Formats: sequence, C-alpha cells, structure tokens
Amino acid sequence: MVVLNKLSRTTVLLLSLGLSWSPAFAASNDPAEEIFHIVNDYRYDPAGTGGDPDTGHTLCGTRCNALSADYLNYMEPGGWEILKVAADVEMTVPLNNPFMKGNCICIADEYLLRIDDLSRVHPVKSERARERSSEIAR
Amino acid sequence: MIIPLVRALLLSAAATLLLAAAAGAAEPARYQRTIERYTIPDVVLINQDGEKVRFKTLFDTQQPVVVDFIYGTCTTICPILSAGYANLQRKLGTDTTRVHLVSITIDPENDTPAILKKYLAQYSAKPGWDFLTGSRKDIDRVMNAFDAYFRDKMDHKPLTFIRSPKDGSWIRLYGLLSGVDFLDEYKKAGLQ
Amino acid sequence: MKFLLTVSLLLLSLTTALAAEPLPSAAEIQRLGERMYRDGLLPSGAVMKAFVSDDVPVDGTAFTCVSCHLRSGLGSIEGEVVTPPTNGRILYQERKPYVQGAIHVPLIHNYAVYLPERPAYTDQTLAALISAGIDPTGRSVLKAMPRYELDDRDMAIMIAYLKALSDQPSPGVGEHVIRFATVIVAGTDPVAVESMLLPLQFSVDRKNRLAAAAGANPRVARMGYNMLGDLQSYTFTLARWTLTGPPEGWRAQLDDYYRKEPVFALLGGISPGDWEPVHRFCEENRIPDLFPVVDYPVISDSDWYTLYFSRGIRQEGEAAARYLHGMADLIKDRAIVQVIRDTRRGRALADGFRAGWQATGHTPAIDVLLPAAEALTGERLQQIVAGHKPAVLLVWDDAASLPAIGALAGQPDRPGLVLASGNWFGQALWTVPEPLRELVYFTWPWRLPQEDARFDISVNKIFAGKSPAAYDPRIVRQSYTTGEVLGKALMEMRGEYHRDFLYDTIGMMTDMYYPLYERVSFGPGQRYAAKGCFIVQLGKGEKPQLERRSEWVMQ
Repeated sequence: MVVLNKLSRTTVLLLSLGLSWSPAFAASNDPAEEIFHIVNDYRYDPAGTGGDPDTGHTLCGTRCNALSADYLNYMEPGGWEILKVAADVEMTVPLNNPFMKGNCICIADEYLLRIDDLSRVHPVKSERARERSSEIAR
Repeated sequence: MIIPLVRALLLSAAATLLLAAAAGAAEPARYQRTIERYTIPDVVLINQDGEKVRFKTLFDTQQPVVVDFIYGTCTTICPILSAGYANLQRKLGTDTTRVHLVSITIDPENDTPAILKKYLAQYSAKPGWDFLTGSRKDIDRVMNAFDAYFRDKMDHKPLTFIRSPKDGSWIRLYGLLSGVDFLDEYKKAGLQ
Repeated sequence: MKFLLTVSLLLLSLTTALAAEPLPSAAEIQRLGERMYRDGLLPSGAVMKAFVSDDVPVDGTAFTCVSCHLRSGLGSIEGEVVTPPTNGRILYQERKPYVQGAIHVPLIHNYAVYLPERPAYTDQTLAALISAGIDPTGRSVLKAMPRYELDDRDMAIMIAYLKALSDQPSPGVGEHVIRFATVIVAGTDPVAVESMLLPLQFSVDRKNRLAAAAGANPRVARMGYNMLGDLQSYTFTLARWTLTGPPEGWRAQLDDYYRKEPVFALLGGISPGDWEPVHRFCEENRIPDLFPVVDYPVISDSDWYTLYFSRGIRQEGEAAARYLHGMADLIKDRAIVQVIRDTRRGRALADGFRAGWQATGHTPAIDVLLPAAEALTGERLQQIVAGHKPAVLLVWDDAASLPAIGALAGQPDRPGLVLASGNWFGQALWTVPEPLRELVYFTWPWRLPQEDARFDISVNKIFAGKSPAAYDPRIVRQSYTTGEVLGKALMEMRGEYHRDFLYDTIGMMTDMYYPLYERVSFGPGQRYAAKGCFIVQLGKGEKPQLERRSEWVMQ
C-alpha cells in the first residue's frame, strides 16, 4: 500500500510538473496557495563592498540553499498539488551576514502550491483541517 | 591435508568456466561505458578533514581525476567501488597522488567529516583519495551534473567517472568493474 | 559436462574432509562465527582475506559478510544490486521457480522470489560458494560476492554460524502475536506520557481491528493479506513498563518485566531525564527500542539496539557550529563566547557546539557558566561582552535571557550575531522585539511551523474525537512517526520476525517525510533519524514567521 501511495504521488507530481501554467497564475490571492522555490544555482555579488569572492560564494550557498524548498515536504502529506510556474528566475537577496556585505543571486525554479481538487471538493473538511493546523503550528 | 588442494582445483575449475564464458559470444558486457562531457557546478564541499573545497577547482588540473558516488554506511555497491579505489592506489605504488581519487557522499545527512575519515581509514586510503560531503542541495547539484542523481541513497547505482586531462572528457563506467577492467579503462583514458 | 563431473568429485572429497574437522562448542561457534561474519576476523584473530570482482583483493576489516547480507543474514537490496539471504534455514531449502501471481508478494522488497531457482545447499556446496563463488547449479554467482580464503575449520565454523543465524523467530513473537512494551519513567509529566502513548496505542489498535475483521470475514482477510502478507493475521500487544525510583534501580525492574513477558521490541518510551539504563538493558539483551522520547539520548557510533529520533538537545549546538563554520574565515581571531546556563540542557547545547567547532580545527570558544539559579541581567551580559569582545555570542539559556540580550542591541561593541536555542525559548520566541530580530539567530530542530501544518491531515486522525489541546503536539508527532516506521518495517519484513532484521529493514528504508522533523533518514547502522536542525531568524511584522537561514543539514 505504501508503494502504491508513493507511485501515485509521484505520478501526480510528474503530471503537475508537466502542465505549463502562465506565471500570471502565481499572482493569485487565494490564501490556500503559496509560491515556493527550488534553487538551482547561486552566485555572490560583492556590490562594490570588496567582499572576498570565495567566502561570499560559500555564504551565498548557505543563504540561497536556505531559500530552497524540498518538494517532498509538500507532496508527502497529500492534499496538495505543485505547479511549475517559472524556470531559472534570478532572485537577488542581501547576503545578510554581520561580517560581510553584498548580495546573493539565487537562480531558482518557481512553483505554485495549492490544495488539490479532491480537497477542494470537500472545502468544509479542508477548512477545519487548516484551522486545526494553525492551532497546532503555534 | 587434501582440502587446500581440492580448493585450488575447484578454483581453477571455476576460473576455466569463467574463461569459457568470457570467450562465448553470448557473454553480456559487465559494465557500460560511454564518453561524456559534464559541466561542473560551482559549489563548496567539505573534505574528510573538514576543509572547504571549491569543487570546480578540483578539475583545474593536468592530473587524472576519478570520481565515484558512495556513502559511509552503504552496503554492497560502495564496498566494491572502494575496494577498487584501494586496489588502484596499491598499483600506483609509492606516489599515490599521481591520480586524484574523489569519492562524493550521496548521504550528506549522515556523513560528517569524521565519518568520511573513518571510512577512508577502513580502506587504508593513501594520500590522493579524498571523500567529500556538503549540504544536501549542493550534493544534489553535483549528482545532477554527472547525470547521476539518486532521489534517495537506496536507489544508488555503481558509477565511476574517469576524467581525461587531455581534453576534459569523462569516461562514464556503469557497473561493478574488476581490478583489471578498471586499470584498462584507466589506461584508455591515456593515463599511465 | 566434464567440468560438472570434476566439481562433483571434488565435492565428494570435501564431504569427507569437512566431517573430519572437530568443531568448538555452540557458544564458541556463535562467538567466532559472529566475529568472522561481522568484523572480518578469523578465529585466529587474523584478518579474513578475500577477492572481489574477480581480482580485487580485500581485507575483511574493510568489508565482510555483514556489509551486504546485514546482521540478520536475510540480505539487502540497494539500487539494482540484490543480496540474497545467507542464513542456513533459507540456503538449505530449494529455491523453487516463481510463478507470477501464484503467491502474493506484499512488497517490492520481497525480492528473493525473483532470484533464479537453485537446489538446496549442502555443507559442501555452501563451502564451494564461499570459497569459489560457485552455486549448487554450477553457476558462478555475481562478482560482488567475495571469494573467501578460509581453512577447513574456519569454513566449518562459518557454516555452523550461518545455520544458526535468524533460524528461529525472536522472543516476543508467537504464532499469531507480536508483543511490544513501552517504558515510562515515573515522574514524567502525565500530558507528555499520554501524548507518547496515544499514537502508539492507535497503531496497535488499528492493527488488531484489522486482524479481528479478517478473522470474521474472508474478503477482509484477502484484502488484508494483499496489503500486509502474513502480518495481517497477527495481533500486537503493548505492555506499559513503569520504572520507579532512582535510575540505578531501573535495571532490576526492567529485567523483572522482561522475565515475566519477553517482548519483541520496545516502542517509544519516555523519561524527563536519564535514559541510559534502558539503553544498556536493550543493548545487552539485544532488544530493539524504536524512538524513545528523550532529550538526552546515549550518543554512540557503535551501539545498535536503540533508534533515536535525533541526537537530542546537543544536536542544536552541533548545528550552530556547522553554521558558523561557513563564516569562520570572517571571524578570524575574534572570540566566540558561550554563555551556558549550568543545567543539563545548557551543558548539552554547549557540549554539542564545542564538539562541532573543535572537530573542524577552530580555536575553542570561551565558556561562561551561569549558576542554575542566577538571573542573567543586562549588566552581567554587557560585562561578558566588554571583557571578551566576541564576534559571536551563544546564549544557551531560556527566554528569561531575552531582556539582557535586548540590552546589547544598542551597544557599539555588540557581537555580530547572537545565537540561542529556539527550542528552549519556546513560545517566547515569537515575542522577540523587532529591533532584535536582525541580531538574534535561533537553532530550530524541526520543520518550520508554517510548513509542518500541512502534515496535520495525517496526525489528526489519531485524535479520534479527543481534543488535540489535551496533548503535547510535538510528542504526539514524534510518536506518530514511531507507529508509521514500525508499521512500514513490519510489512517489509515479509514474515521474518527477527530483531536484527527489523533494524536491517529500517536501515534500508528511503528517507521519510513525517510530521515534525523536516526529514528522517535511515541507513544500515544509523541510529539518529532526524539529522538536521535549521538556523532561523524571526521575520518582520506583527505576525512574524520563522525564516530559514540554513538548510536542514549542513556539513
């Protein structure tokens, strides 16, 4: 049974990754939807601060990897689907290190996470589940 | 004692069978071999001494480099790949640093530098064999770059990569190689 | 044909020779055989020699039988390399042809049936396999199987050891029942105890309901069999073993419980402090304990029988060291100061940091110990900072230290960053005022709350009408994982209920995504499942969220 679940989840993922949604879809205001990123590459931009490129590169690795999601964390609980909305987006974030300035450019694929159709058919149940979620989360 | 003799005969009988099988046309290839070009990702990994290694720079060299993917607690595949590395180092004699052997963990969750170091000691690794770990995402990038991504360490496959210093191309070997096969491939890469 | 004739003749002579060798006592065979099987050492103490992949010499200390066939001898599967069982009970049975659909195969891991058929081994053909890699059909087995150089007596010991390996089901396994127990240290917060028990009892009850339904209804039995194989007809029992008094007295109580009711394994267990006596009891009796709920697990890289969720509190300190290692070049000669509350928790965090930081060759941090009852005032903290001018300040204390840390914010010689335990701060973490949020980083040994909420859908089913508010949400989530891992492992054990095989099976599991921890991962011999810990900061705004500043696992 476990194997079947895994297979079907993988299938769902593959199917959903195969669909091409326009990036505009990502702008949806539905609170049940969120955007996440999987970071493919990164680089350090000293931005004129003279920061050491080697150290900057290491630190940007940590900084950008921290922004990257593990998609299995979204797929495994079930009830959600993932749609790829953009590829190789460049996101510039401050390095955020007390000892060195500059920026990191994180190159990432962008995904939209939303409640899947099955959970949408039973909105009341899903709503209750979300309420309980927020109680437990805090 | 009759037994050692019996065993010797048995072994030679087995060897005869193997040779006979090897001579037959139906013998399947024991490993797959392709020539590839890879773009090495610019990530920072950590070696068995806890030192940061900018991965790309390992290949800015005229020295031959061999890469494999293993992990500290792995069964079956890794011991055999690592026995192959140890055997190659033995054949290299005193100057083991002539060839850079690089093992990259596919289990960065568990493989701390201390575990890497212990693993190398277990195989009596000599200078010239490095074992690298790092953050999981950086390791994923390296696996992807070598077209060797395993979603999970339990999906592991036996892969060895030999980089030719002449043109930077890679011989990709898929399968468990004998010592002779490994040395042959190594020579085919133009290395002595 | 000539070859087969030669082999048969040789085997005939082997029969006579093997029989003539005197063997040591059963206990000695167990000891010496285990040493060959697990450590690659001959009875003489010399290293076992072998050849693998035809011509690659290999020492038993690098790898030996256990490396592939695992402790139980029931084999392994990794990628596409399948290692068949090597215990006598299975080797000495004929492997019959497998007919698709003829028998049910509960899971893909039930791989052995797909292997080529062969006649039953005998002592002689098994000796030929070990020394020459030839199976009873005369085929040469995969090159991955080393060919061992053993003399006759050593070979006979090895074969006798394999015959006893995983021969009988482990204690606690009856014809249709598997017995478990959980250990509760008296004095543990009752809410914590109930939170540990609820998911375990849920798993046990669910299993037993299925067994009862299957007994009453053949269609349910068929369905259950398709899901679980022979496990469907088993019932589980879960005893509660309560330990009272000081830890020194626990061992006698455990021995007594075990004598009255031998169990297959311990599930969970809970203690507000010590766990070592239970750990030792399991180690010495070779009883698995899956996931006790403890903050201070025994840290060992060789102990076998207790599987912990993580390395406990010290794992946060280790993560802090790894995070700072990335910026060590920028810290250079400036000091790192650890302010350590002199309690078990404070010391565990500091120990974890110290070990991690020094393992990478850095100058040790300066430790400042705070007596358990002394409040950390702003003046005291400023005094420490003025004295050492640290680049990084680690505050291993609870949230009562927050005002003192706050007083640093405006100081010109304040450290570049302050690191504290998010776990220890608890709910107060969300009260860190905005100006401080940039300065303070926290260790966070779980999935971020906003992301973990998605997993409620799994956990909520176990409450079955009870109020989640009456339980500790983290312990419920931990214990939920215990039930899931146990269920998955037992399903994959395909009727072979041996304790060592339980751990061999768990060791072959892929990484799992359960509630609470970002990821749990296993591997042969790995005993701390959740290996990571985020470094986080509190985001901006009135309803801030935690923001990751690191990956789950860094090296």
